[in-house]
Amino acid sequence: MRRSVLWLLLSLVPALAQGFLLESDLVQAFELAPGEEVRAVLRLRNTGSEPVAVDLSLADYREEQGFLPLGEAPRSLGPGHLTLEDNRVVLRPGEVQEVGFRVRAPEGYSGTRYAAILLAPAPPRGPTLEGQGVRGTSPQVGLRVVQRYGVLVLVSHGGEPQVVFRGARVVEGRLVLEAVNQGDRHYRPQVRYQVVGPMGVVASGELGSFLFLPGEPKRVILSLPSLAPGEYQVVVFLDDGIKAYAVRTRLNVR
Amino acid sequence: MRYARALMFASLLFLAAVRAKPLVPMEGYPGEAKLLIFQGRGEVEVPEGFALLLPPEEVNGVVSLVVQVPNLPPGEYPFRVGESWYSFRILPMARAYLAPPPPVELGAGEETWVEVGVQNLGNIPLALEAQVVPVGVEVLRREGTGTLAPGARGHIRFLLRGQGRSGQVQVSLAGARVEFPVVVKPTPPPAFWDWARAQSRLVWTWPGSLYLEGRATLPGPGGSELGRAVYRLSPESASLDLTRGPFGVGLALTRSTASLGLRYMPGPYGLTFWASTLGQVRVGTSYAERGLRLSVEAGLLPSLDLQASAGLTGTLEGLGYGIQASYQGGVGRLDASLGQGALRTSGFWDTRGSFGLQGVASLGVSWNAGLGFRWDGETWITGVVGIPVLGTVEVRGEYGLASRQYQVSLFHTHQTPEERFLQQATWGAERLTYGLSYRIRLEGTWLGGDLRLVRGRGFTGEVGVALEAFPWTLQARVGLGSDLRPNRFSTAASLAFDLPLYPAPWPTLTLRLQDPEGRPLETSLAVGPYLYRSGRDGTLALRLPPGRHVLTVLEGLAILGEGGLSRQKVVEAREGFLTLTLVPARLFTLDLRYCPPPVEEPGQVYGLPGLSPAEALARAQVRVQAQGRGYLVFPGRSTLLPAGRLALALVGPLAGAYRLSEPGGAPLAEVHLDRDQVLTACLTPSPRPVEMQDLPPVEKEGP
Repeated sequence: MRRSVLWLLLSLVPALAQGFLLESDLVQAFELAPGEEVRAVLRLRNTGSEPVAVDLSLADYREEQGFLPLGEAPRSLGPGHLTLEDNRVVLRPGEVQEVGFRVRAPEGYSGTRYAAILLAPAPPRGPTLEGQGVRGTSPQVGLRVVQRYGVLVLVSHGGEPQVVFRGARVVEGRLVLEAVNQGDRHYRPQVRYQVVGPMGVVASGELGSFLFLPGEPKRVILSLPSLAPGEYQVVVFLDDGIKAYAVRTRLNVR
Repeated sequence: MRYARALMFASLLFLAAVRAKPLVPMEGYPGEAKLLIFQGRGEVEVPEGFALLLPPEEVNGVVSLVVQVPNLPPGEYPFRVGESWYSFRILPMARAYLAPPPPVELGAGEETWVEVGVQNLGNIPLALEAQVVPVGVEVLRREGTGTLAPGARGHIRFLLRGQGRSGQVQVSLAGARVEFPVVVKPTPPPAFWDWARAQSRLVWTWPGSLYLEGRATLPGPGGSELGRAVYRLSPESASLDLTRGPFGVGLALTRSTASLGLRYMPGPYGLTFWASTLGQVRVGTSYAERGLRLSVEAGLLPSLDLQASAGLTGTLEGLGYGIQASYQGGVGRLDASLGQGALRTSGFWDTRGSFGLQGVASLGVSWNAGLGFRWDGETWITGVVGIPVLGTVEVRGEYGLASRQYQVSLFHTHQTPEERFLQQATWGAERLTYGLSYRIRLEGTWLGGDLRLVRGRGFTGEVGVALEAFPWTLQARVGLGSDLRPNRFSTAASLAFDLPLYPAPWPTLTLRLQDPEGRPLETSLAVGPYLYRSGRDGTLALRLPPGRHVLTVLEGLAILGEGGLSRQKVVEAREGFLTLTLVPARLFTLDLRYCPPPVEEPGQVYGLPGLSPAEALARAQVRVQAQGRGYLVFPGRSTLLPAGRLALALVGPLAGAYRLSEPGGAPLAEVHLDRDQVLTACLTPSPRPVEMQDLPPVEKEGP
């Protein structure tokens, strides 16, 4: 009986899943002079078999607080500088649509200002578990897969990032480097690392792209390989093609 | 200088000298960044020419450093670590750079030399043995052989001949590949090119007659097809056959008779009727659908006769079958075949009582073998063998069991684009027949001869020569009587040409060519392979066949559009006007090369991390600002740009981390473009300081 219920639930997932895919970059960075305005688009694709409505809204973002009402973050782009052309789009199955937005750089600003565009599927209409639907019909039971996206829109003019690493610690086998961008401009480097032991390089690789927002903390997390007891040197190299940092720490494995 | 800097750098690691040994292979190819690790301690001395990318660093008794392998001859180069010397082996590398020539324009049959620049980027001599693949163009000759020393430059030259169509030439050498296009040089349109024409030929035979024959697809308005026509005219007769949709009509006239044929073929059914002034009448009907074919034709006058045939072919669960039944001249015949995989059997029976059966097995590509029998009053054993030797050879044999007669025939053919060879021999019943035909293509002309010999009671035969040089064909034949004495002579000549019928009902597109200020331009323009010139008022009327056509502007001009500059524009043939704004423009090609900085300072990072010189060149984008507009240029690709002053700037992912410079080192920011130009420039990584931050040690529990 339990297995039958499980199969029923699994079979409902694809039927009720509301799938849409954001095909644009999650970070939209613009170089704009004060007062300058630009239009850009986000590209959405409905990957499901049912029409899906996507709601768009604006918010601020902070690394340790998540999304906040627009205008509450210290370096918020602020109301009026980021506007959406549509607050809701409806995508037919397989359809691709571009949603436009406009960015206007604040007057007299420098460094980076930013805000976020949130995209989430609109709540479904119809009967619910609480039986609020049409009289005489049974409530619909199923799983609903909800995809949400937060697209950071950054506007920059001049300024400089200043990344300071405050410390390192090992958490659950991973090396966590604590940093903060004390500058007034965002920093988006490619990050590489190298672990050197008594017999040479024991591990190295790319950690990908990281976004250091101005005035915000950031963690660079490095999954360490299985290391024999001894002393190692870990070097993390950050470079965005303009500014480069090398961070070094000694790692004692007991 | 670099050596001194390397020593200075390495001396930072001067410690008590102890024995060190390398932990990684001491070898690499030129241009590679190599991480070298030594166990032990000691001062590191780097051989001259090796660039120190990361200085020596000591961690727990291990010294590591990163060097860039220089483009030096292959061999051993000594590293010193402490008191020990270790050889670093530079491996031999063959690598070439090929510089593409500008696009080549060639008319049909026109020849020109094209030069491809070569530079040896490897560290061993480079043999100039390039692989050349021409498409749509002929490579007649090649110059430039021998070898190039490392770093040296040279070139390979090709003599190309146009074939009247667009194509390209691909050249490959030591890992480098370059392609350059060959486009058709436009020529003024020939007379009557925009008329409906019949592909015709005039044939003269002696002794014999003169006749004209041809066929045409007749264009109608809007690109539709009015129909098709086939004709033949001679002093003795004339015939014309017209087809339009499912209907067809044919007329034939001779000095004594006239005939009329009518067809209605809507498919799958078909009806035919034919009558002549001699009182002959024939009717026929047919049905064809998928593998089924049926046809019946009857002569009604002057006497009744009947011809009928039915056929069915198909496949049933992998078994291919075919059945064909026919009746003609009072004889009925039934043919059947079955085949599966490499095996095929066929048989026949007719109302005269003959029948036969044969099986053929395919043993591979062009390998066939078969055996069968036939009965027509006596039993004949038949056999066939096909072998792929010097082309294709097929031998057939028959042997009568009662009469003990045999007949053997051989068929041999070999064809290449430059040669055609065919020989055929039959031997049996005291008669030998041999035929040979050979054609060779020389400079676009086919030359050849034919020979036919028959040996019965004596020798007879025929010898012929043939020449096919489009549009002419010429043939001469000599008949050989008994004992091979010439006893007759014949010649034939034909001339192929297009016979204009009527002006094609095509729409007229009127172009107006102007400069950016709106002044009319008198200039040349190509539409497909044809060249036109606008009048003083800048207008040009084009009558074009329905469909899309490519307009190409010439004389250093380009079409100014919303998407930038273009030499070509695709237009739809239609009645109307089109205004094109043309500006002076030239092709600009950036030949960008990677030039490392002459001096690398410690504590600086150069270029983008993890990006090899080849990857950096592949990602380079240059923005060109000209006459108030911006254009993106990618190295190695020709880009059409406005003539005049160009401002260059590196953009994209490399901007800020690299810089553009002239080969001599001077910054490159501006170019004057007054002709198609290939600009050689350097991509050099710019120095950026690395900010080092040290964090306190951390501890981790072991695995």
